[in-house]
Amino acid sequence: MSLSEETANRIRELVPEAESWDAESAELTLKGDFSTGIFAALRDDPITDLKYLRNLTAFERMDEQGVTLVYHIASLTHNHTVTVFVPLSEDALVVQSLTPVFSAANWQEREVYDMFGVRFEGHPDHRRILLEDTFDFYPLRKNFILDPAVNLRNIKEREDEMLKKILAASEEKAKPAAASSEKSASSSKSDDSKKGEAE
Amino acid sequence: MSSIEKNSVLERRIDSLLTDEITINFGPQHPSTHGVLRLEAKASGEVITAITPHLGYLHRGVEKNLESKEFLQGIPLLDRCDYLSSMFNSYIMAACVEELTEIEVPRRAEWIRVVAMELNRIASHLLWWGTFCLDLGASSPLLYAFRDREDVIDLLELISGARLLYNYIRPGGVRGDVTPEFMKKLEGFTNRFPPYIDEYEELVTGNAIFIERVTNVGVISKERAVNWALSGPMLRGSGVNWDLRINEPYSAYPEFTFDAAVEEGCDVMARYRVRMMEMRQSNRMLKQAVEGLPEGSHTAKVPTSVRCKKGMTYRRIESPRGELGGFMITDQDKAKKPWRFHLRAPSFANLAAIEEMSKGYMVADMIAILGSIDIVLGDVDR
Repeated sequence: MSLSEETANRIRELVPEAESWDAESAELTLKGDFSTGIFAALRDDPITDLKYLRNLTAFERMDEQGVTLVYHIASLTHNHTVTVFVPLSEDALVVQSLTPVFSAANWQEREVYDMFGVRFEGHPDHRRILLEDTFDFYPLRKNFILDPAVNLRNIKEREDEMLKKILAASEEKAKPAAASSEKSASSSKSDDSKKGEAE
Repeated sequence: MSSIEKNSVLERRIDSLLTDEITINFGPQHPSTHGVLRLEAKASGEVITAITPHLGYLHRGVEKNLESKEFLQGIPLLDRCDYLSSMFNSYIMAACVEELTEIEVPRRAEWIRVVAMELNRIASHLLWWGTFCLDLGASSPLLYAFRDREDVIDLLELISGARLLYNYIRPGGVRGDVTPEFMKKLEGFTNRFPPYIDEYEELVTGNAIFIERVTNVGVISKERAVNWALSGPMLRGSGVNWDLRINEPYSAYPEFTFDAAVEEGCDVMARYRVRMMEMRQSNRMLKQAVEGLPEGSHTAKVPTSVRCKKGMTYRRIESPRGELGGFMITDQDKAKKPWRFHLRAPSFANLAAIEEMSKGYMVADMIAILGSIDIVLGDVDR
């Protein structure tokens, strides 16, 4: 499933700021500060037609500190797939969110944030997706060691700490809600509806 | 129904019902969530206005665990991700390893794999069919589905020794060869099965109450389905002719004749029809396998501890739920373990679109829509 020459050239035209573009393996490398416009252009161009974000994930690099994001984007009409790599350095784990371009990026970006701690600017719902919100570690990083002797050390203290965090978070959540309900109590209409809800 | 029409229906419904918005908590222990999924739905009267899914109740850290396991040890672990179609999960690991070792898989082994996977697809779709009808309030289809699923499970037990988590497909081939007894029983099954599907269609598909519940519900247009990267019956139910078995052929699928099941309806009914058609197509493939299973070995010569060269691969296959992808990286030559293994779970990607699909429909429709996605929580949470 190699790319046609026309498509390869078109991608080179559309993404002049690419770090590298390998037409044979269809691999594109971008800098960490790319703009989402690149992906929108690749999506809307009839020749590239990369509309289908089939996979979005990340991996930790072996030789140096840092995480590389991987996007697999496909065209269902031309039947080709382009792999986009975005290497990020350890001190700048942040990129633009692709959610405005591909809705599919929404959950997959949340998963990458959950597992690697990469932040996505402009994401509509930037929360952890599989793990607890209060966790302070990113399990798929290599510095998270999968060893009960390490992970269960001081488990009691860490659980207490976690509990405190969860309680603090839930209190904070309850605060603005309480404030708004006081406000709405003054108007009679919402008062009635409150009663209806209680019934 | 176009999205514009759908929005106007939503507005009309909200305007005519001036009620306060209420929050409904759904799950994680509710039977129709098919596992442990929690949905926080906001409803204005009976109309859904927002859904926030809460995931992670079944998260077992499979991807992290795989990094400390040899490739062969990883297969049983992956089987437990999507426990209703574990043949496919085994295949994805085998396919990744084969790509990075250049093991030549014998033709017979690939055919046996197709037989195993298509049987598994039928078993998975049957369970979906039974539970989906149960969600809609029809309890007898479940009994029919389990009667016939038992047949399939018996067949899979004959070849692999297990009924649910098979650990059968290995790098280089399959664990054991098929027996003449299996082939005989398989032939019996392929003859028995089409009348069964006719029976299901008679029982459910033409039922007026059923049609009323599922037609024009959970509409997602072709463009939106592609933008959400939906796959499998979800995508084909929205009129996109995209089946990885045909469009990106793998294993022995190019040697089989079958059609992709595509429906233009974009609604729950369309997805239902796609899955029913897929069962017929799977049976068609099994028939071809009964007639033409090639002779040869069921596995290539593979060392006990498989070692991969340094590299990176993204393999994807058509699982009953959609595009199942395996993204594997090894960090050195003769690697025993993956440096990173990412499972692109079809249920996870498909479930993401639930809010868009359910907005503007009734609370009861949400159950039908969730059922039509065919989620397996082990696959969503991994």
